[in-house]
Amino acid sequence: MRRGPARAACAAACVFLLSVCGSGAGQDRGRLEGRVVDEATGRPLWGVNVMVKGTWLGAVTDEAGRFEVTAVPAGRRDIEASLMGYEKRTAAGLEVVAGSATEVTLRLKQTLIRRPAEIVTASKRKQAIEDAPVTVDVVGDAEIRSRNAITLDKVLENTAGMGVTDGQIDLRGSTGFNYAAGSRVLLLVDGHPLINGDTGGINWDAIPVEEVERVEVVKGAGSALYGSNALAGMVNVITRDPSAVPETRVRMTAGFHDTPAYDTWRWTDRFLTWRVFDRGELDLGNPLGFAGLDVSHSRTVGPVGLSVTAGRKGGTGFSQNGWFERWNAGAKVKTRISERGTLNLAAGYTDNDHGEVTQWLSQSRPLEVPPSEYGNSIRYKKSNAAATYRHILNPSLAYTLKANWYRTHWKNDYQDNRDAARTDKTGAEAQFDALWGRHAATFGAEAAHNRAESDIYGSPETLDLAVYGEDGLRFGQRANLTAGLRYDFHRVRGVYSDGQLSPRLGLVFRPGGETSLRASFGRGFRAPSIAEVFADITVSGFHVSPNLDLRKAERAWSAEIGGGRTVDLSRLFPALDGPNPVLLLDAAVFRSDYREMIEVGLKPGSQDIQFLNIGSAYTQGFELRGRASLWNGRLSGQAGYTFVDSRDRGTGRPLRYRSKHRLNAGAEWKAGRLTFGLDARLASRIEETLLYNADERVPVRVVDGRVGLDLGRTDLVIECTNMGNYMYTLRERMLEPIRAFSLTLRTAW
Amino acid sequence: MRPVLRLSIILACLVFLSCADHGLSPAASEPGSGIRGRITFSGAWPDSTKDVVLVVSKKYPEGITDRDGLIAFVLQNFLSGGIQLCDTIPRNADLYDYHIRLQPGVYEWVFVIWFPDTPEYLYGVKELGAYYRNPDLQTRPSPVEIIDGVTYDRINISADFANVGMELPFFRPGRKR
Repeated sequence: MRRGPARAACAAACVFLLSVCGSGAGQDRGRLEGRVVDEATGRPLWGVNVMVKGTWLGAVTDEAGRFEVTAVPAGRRDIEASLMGYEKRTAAGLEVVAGSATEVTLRLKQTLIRRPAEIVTASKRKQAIEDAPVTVDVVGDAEIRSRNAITLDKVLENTAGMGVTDGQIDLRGSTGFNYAAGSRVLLLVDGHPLINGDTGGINWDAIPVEEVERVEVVKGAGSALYGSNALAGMVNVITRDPSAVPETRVRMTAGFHDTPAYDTWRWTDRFLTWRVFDRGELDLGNPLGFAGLDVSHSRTVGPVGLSVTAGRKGGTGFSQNGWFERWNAGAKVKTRISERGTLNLAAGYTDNDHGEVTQWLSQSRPLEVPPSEYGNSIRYKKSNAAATYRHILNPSLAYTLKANWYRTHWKNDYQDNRDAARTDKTGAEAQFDALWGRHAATFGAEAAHNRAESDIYGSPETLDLAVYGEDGLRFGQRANLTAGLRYDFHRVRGVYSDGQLSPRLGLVFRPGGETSLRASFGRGFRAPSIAEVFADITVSGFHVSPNLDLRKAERAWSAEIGGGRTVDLSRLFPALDGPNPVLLLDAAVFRSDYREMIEVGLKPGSQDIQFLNIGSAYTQGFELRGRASLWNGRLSGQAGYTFVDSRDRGTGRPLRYRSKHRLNAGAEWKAGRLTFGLDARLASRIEETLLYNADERVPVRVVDGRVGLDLGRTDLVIECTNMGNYMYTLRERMLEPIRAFSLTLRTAW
Repeated sequence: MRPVLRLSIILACLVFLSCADHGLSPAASEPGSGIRGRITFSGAWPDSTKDVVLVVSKKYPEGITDRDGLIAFVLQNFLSGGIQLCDTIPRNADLYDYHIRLQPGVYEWVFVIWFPDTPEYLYGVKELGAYYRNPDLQTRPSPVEIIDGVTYDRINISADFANVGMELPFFRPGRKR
């Protein structure tokens, strides 16, 4: 049964290939090659995406800025070069001669606002960011590396409309917090899902931060292309490709936690700042702190690009049971196995042994845990592997075959239980991308199998099968219309099966100038995870009982209308004394109507906790985003404000763990080799919690600051997180991190 | 570069303002409404102790003695926020001074419960003691009326391991794994 879907997909792919692969054969072909350089400095640009317009043919520049596109049909061709932080440049009317090479040099002009020209997540294929009918935020490598984050979620929580609670993504009020189960945002790594097979949640420690090139955050229902979990959006982590020349990179991080804001909250004499400033003596023996080391090496041997990475992070945490020790290793291989075929292989392993904090002892001692939980820990191992093969059949048709495997294995070492679970999630997908006339279409089939072995779930198995298709229709330069549909079949062996149809419609209209308007309407769904259906566990006397009646996927119709505009600030404010002041503005209104929403609650007629279909609910609101650059990029900043009104229609009360107002803002000032940065995260008080709803809660007001020193191949970042040492909770009785100082040194050779 | 300087000053002010407020605090209950007092333990802490927790309830299960009735009472009041589990008391303490913030209203039952060290200690939870204005007249726990802005002192409780009260169908919520 497990092999069936993959076999069917392969057969379908073969039939399709046979029918179309001849279409490009016999044509006279030539090569396009050349260099891409920075217009101002003449410096070669690495990683530039060069595409032959109107085809899937393309290449990425190497460290010398060189590229080569082979098998280009002879005739006049236009090519387009794009790179994050640069204006897109087109070279039109290049004459490609059969059997010979056409040389071209492209000069790209740096933009003041780092924004990618192209994205890959919104429509499951490369497209211009302004063609996406939904809101897309991109977090680039500079933003990631300017912070000392150990896990990627700590960077992403600065994104407009996004909150992260205990690793769980809340995108525009979609999830709030669901006890780490059932993410309504699909996490992808290089297009492969990385959602835990058992809980349906996310483990950020499985992603090595240093290997991330950029992150695309797509807001709005994405189930029409991605199926379950993409109910409220997708977060796609794009990792960097292997380097063309040998390169070794090292990152070292060390830091310490400051003392809590109140003396009475000090639970140990190991706080370093307390030793220094209050006791007047410095004792570096075992202070509360953290450290990490990551080493990676990348090179290309013949046609094979290879990168390997390994790292260790460890720390005491700032509270009792807050310690962690984490090891990770990974490898990525990219190779061209034919003139038109590229194979990517990736694998990773993470071993995270850490203390477990369930709740604080009391508000007067919030950094301590109840005696019955002291010493509780959990060891969590994750292994993943993914393969992607992309083949360009002819200039207008390409296919991609994907396979992935993700194993999660955790074991509790609690005072009251030693539960464990191992889950294997395996998936395969065949995707076709076609261009004809004004159309750009994507269609394919997908299969996934999930099997758990656990003393709390038993041995459940799930199977998912899906077919999908989406067509983008261009109306000149002014408008794009997108229509897509996906059918998903979900089966939980021996319990139930279910089918979901997910349509999506999108429109982008460019009335002129630098203005772009967009609208989208679609349906998303999320099938309940294994944990939500089968979990049978007692922790701290709190019994979670299985719910085999949880047979309905939660579903939501979502709509968004938005628009963006680039503004030349020098026209509005002539007094600005520097060149090139630019402002990007974006606004969106959105609404999602949920049916059969799955939330954690109390089992009817008992005190057991269960995951239940609670009925209907909605989230609605608006989002304003701005990104500005002044004085030739020396001062830049961005801000996003999101208002979310959410309501459970059954009770009439707000949905739990949601903030009504959220403001994420950041600014960066460059002064020579130094960079000064600030990030602020403000959110209104969480309106409802499941437990202890009468507890005191406060709004979120966190400011992080940093200073960076750029020494070329080496850079240094000193960071202070939670500068105000602001004490707050995002879920019941769990204090968020107190002020911490850290230093990161990165070097490459 | 004057505008840069101006912007820097604005940002510095924002940072300064953010440092002025520390959010949650143990002192937050000082000017607000709540109760504080001392719990005095007598008798030996049993080895089978899981946790001992201070609890406040807006209602007292007057006249309810059967188990099903108590389950319904606890469930209904816990869901509505009428029952709140407050401080967990350090093991083997002889005395414990507590201070908790409460919304204004009448709390009919301020009491201490004992959780046995069993996998599901929903069963076997016992009342160790409750607040009685007159400790010599322990027929029914004394209600505490909280007025906005006032913290009530001397809400003292005697907890006796040798003389436990009624068995309660209680659970201690935690995080699902």
